[in-house]
Amino acid sequence: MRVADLIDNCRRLAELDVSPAVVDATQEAVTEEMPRRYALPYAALLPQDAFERTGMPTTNLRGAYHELVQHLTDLAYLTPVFFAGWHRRRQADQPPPPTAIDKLLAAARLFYAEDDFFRREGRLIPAPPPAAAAGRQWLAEQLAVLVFRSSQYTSFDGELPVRADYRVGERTAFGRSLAYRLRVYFHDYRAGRRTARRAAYFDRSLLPYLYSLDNSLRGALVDELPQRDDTNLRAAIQTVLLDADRLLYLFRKHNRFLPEHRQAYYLLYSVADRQAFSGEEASGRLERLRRRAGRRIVRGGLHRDTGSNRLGVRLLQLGLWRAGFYTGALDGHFGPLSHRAVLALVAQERAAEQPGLGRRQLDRLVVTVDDQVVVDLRLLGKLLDHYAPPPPPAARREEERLYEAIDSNRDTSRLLALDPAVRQHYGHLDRHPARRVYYGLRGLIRGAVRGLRRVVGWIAGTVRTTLGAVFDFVKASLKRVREGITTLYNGFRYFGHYFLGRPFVSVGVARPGGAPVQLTQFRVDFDVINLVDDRSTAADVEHHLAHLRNLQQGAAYFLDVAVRIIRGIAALSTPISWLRLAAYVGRWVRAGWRRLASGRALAGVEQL
Amino acid sequence: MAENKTFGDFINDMTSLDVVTLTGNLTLQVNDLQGRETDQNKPLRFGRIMRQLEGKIMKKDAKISALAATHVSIDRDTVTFVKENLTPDEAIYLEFHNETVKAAGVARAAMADGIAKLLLGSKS
Repeated sequence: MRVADLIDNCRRLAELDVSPAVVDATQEAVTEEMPRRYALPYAALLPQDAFERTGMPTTNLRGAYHELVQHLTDLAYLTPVFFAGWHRRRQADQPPPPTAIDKLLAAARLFYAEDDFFRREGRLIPAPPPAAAAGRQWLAEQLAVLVFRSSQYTSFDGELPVRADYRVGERTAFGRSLAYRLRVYFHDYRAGRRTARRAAYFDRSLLPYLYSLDNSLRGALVDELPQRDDTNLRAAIQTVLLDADRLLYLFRKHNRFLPEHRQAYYLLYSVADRQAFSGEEASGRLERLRRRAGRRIVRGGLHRDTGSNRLGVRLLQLGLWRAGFYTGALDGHFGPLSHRAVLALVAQERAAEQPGLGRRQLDRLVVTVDDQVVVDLRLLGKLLDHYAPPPPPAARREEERLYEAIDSNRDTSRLLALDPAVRQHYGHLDRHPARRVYYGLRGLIRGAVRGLRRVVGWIAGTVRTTLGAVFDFVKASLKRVREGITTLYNGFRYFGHYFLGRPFVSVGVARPGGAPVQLTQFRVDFDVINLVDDRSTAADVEHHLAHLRNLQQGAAYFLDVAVRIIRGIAALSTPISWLRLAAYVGRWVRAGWRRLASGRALAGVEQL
Repeated sequence: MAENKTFGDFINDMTSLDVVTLTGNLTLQVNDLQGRETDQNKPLRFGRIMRQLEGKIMKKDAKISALAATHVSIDRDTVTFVKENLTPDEAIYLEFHNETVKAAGVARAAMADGIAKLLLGSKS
């Protein structure tokens, strides 16, 4: 089936044409075509099934579980040891053991209980059932929304609004999010000093870190710091913790290395194996730059390390990580991975349509002299400004531009089958165990747009480098696919039950001769047909009723989602690829979630 | 959807609600349903269930009988027909029937809301 046929069928459904041809074709597109295209099975699969090789591609589902595990680890619902174990098994293509799934379920249950988002509008997402098997099924079904919400709590893009009523020490997901940010900025990763102990919630024991933060910002937050009897955390402090761009701006402003400052500000570090990074062409100008850098290195000998500088290095690593170039730990240690990230950023900018810096400035940004490297932080900061996530309307425009440029070059659908080229960045856990992938969607799109030529070149097979733009593009595409399509599946299941006459079926406990079946069909003219096996026991019937009740909990929300998406697809007029369709669906879903997360009701589909 | 009805026909039918509960021998082979081993946690193969059910119901000697039927009209008058001389097991099924009459009310609200959205678009 082609996307155009699906659009046509959705248009007919939106005009309330439920003739068998339309119904069957739409059903086939959603339940059979999409799972193949997007490597996301229609049935909600538990993690161990998502890892099984059953012929159905489940790459994106594994990715979704991985992302959930990463976010829940960052929020201290799971331990880094658990994350490492999960990661290793994924790398080895092995399913997680049952104990790991139970731990993940327990973490997800606690997360659900600590975040009131899920219970908005009279229980938006059904509560996890207490029984273990039903709980696992719940985890599989609600995976997309759990990933979305946990990703907001770990986002550095200002995705999470400040909470005026937040009280220091409260045991909520928000409190965990604040504690996570302090770990990112201050956790000591040095060998021998690494500790497994982490404060899960932001409480009074972490307040001294806010004073350290203020010191590093040279007193910029001094009037906002919590006083002895304060129970709340002021909005200015929350904003700095939730939005890394705001923090980086303050750091640069108070350390005087914003673009308008004329004062020089450099980062000096050593790389052990300089040969591995060489490739610069020798020229008279570069030689002059090296000599100048050499003089700076001599002057740098007088430099003293301060805690402030270490925060600055972490902020740079954070910036490089969010821009898709850095894959190491945010540890304040500028080693080979950080160095490679700076080089990759500069290389991408050299090839950009509209570079953030002039060619001569890019030459000056990073200069190596023997085994020493000098990075101009004023220029690097300026460059990273171009990678800061844009506001949502600008992100939408950029995404359109991205897909238009790609669609006109190649059929992008094949990219969805696998992402082998970026897989290498998920590996090497032994080398840098605190490694994370950054999942902030707007930032990923911005990075991909900045490296549009590189992305197009990669699709055309002429560019091999996968860091930066290409990595961002693949991540952004897959994330969209996972979020939007799995939510559509959930919604379509309700649509199928309530509109297309697909019966609810449950199978009772097996006994000699087989298992009894209970079936309930809601028809769109409001009639209901029940079929009950005459061997069904009271327990079987109750199980079936519980199944019906459970599904009804989220019916209003998911039916709403499905109807909005069907209307959205019906409204599409230009030819698009499957990848782009997923991006649209993902955008509608995400816009709806964002509205709900900010306490508003769902808006009309045109706004989605 | 089996019948070739238009939505207009359905809307004409929407003024009333009928719930019918049928019983009979619908026992299925679980191994076949789940495709692999008989693990209760594995997802069921819906297509196989439906094929098996259809096969059973369409048999000439299929013993499918009506246990109860409830008609709810728009003014909420409710009439329920129940099979005579219910066995204790069938009494349980009757409770189930009554529960689904209630559930049908919820389903009706959800469907009416969804149809309104499809027809008009959301104005909320």
